[in-house]
Amino acid sequence: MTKEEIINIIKEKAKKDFNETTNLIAEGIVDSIDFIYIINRLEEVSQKEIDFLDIDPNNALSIKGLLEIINGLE
Amino acid sequence: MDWNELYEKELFRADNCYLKCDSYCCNNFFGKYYNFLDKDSVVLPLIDEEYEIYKKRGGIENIKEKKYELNIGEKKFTFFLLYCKEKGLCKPHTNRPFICRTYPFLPKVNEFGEIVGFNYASLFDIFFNKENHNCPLVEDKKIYNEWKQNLPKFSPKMIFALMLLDALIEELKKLDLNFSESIKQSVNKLELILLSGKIYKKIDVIEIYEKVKKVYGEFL
Repeated sequence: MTKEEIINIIKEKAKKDFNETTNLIAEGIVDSIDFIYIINRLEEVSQKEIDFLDIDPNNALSIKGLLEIINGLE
Repeated sequence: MDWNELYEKELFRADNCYLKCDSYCCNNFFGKYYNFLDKDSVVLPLIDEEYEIYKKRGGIENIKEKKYELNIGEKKFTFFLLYCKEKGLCKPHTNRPFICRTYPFLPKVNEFGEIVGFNYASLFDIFFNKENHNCPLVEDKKIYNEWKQNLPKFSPKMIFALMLLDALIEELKKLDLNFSESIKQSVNKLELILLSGKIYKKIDVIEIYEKVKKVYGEFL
C-alpha cells in the first residue's frame, strides 16, 4: 500500500490539513469514530487484517506509522 | 424489574471510600494513557429501560449522552452511553445509573437471571485481580455480601445485557494484554481493540438472545 493511498483514505474524513507525521487524533484531524472508518478502509484496500495486539499502538496515530503497520503485515 | 426502586436504594454502603482511592471509580484513571478515547470522561452504559427511568427522574447535570443500536438478527437492542466528567460530584447523586451503584462489581447472571458470580465493572479493571485492583472495595467481603443480597431481580433485557457484557469480558480476558508490565501499551491496544469493533464479532449475540428468549419469550 502506498503513502498516497493512505493519505487519500484519511482525506475522506480529515477536518484539517495534515502531514506524514501529524498525530491525527491529538491534532484533531479525525475523531475516534472517523478513525474506525479509516482502519476499516485501510484493511479493505490493502486486503490485510490488522491485529492490534501485534502492533505498536502509537504507530496508528500518523500516516508514517500506519504505512509501517500496513506494509509490515503478512 | 423496578428501576425506580433500584434508584431509591443503595446496593451497599461504603461511606467515604473515595478517601482511600481518590475517587478511582469516578475519575478516568486510565485516561492519561489514552490515544483515542475521551481522556476525561467515564463512560456509563444504560439499556433503554433504565435510560427511560433515568431521564424521567431528571438525569444528572452536565452529562453528554449517545444512543446506540445493536442488531440482533431482525431485532434491535438499544442502549445509551453517558459520558460523565463529574468526577464523583454528580448532581443529583441519587440519579446516578446502575453501573455506578454496582461498581466495583458487575453481576454475572445466567439466562434465568440467577447470580452466578461477578465481573469487575469496568472494562479496564478486568485485567486486574483483587490484590492490585485500584478500588479498595473489591477486597471487602462485607460489601460484596451486601451488594449480592441487594441486587434486584433483573428484567429479561437486563439479563441479556449482562450476559452480553460477560461474553465480551471473557473475550477480552483471552487477549495477551499485560497491564502490570506496560500499562500505556496495554491501554492503547485495548482502545484500538474496542474501537475497531472486531472483538464484538467474536460474540454470538444470537445465541445469547435465544437463551434468554427461551426462558422469558420475546423481550426485544
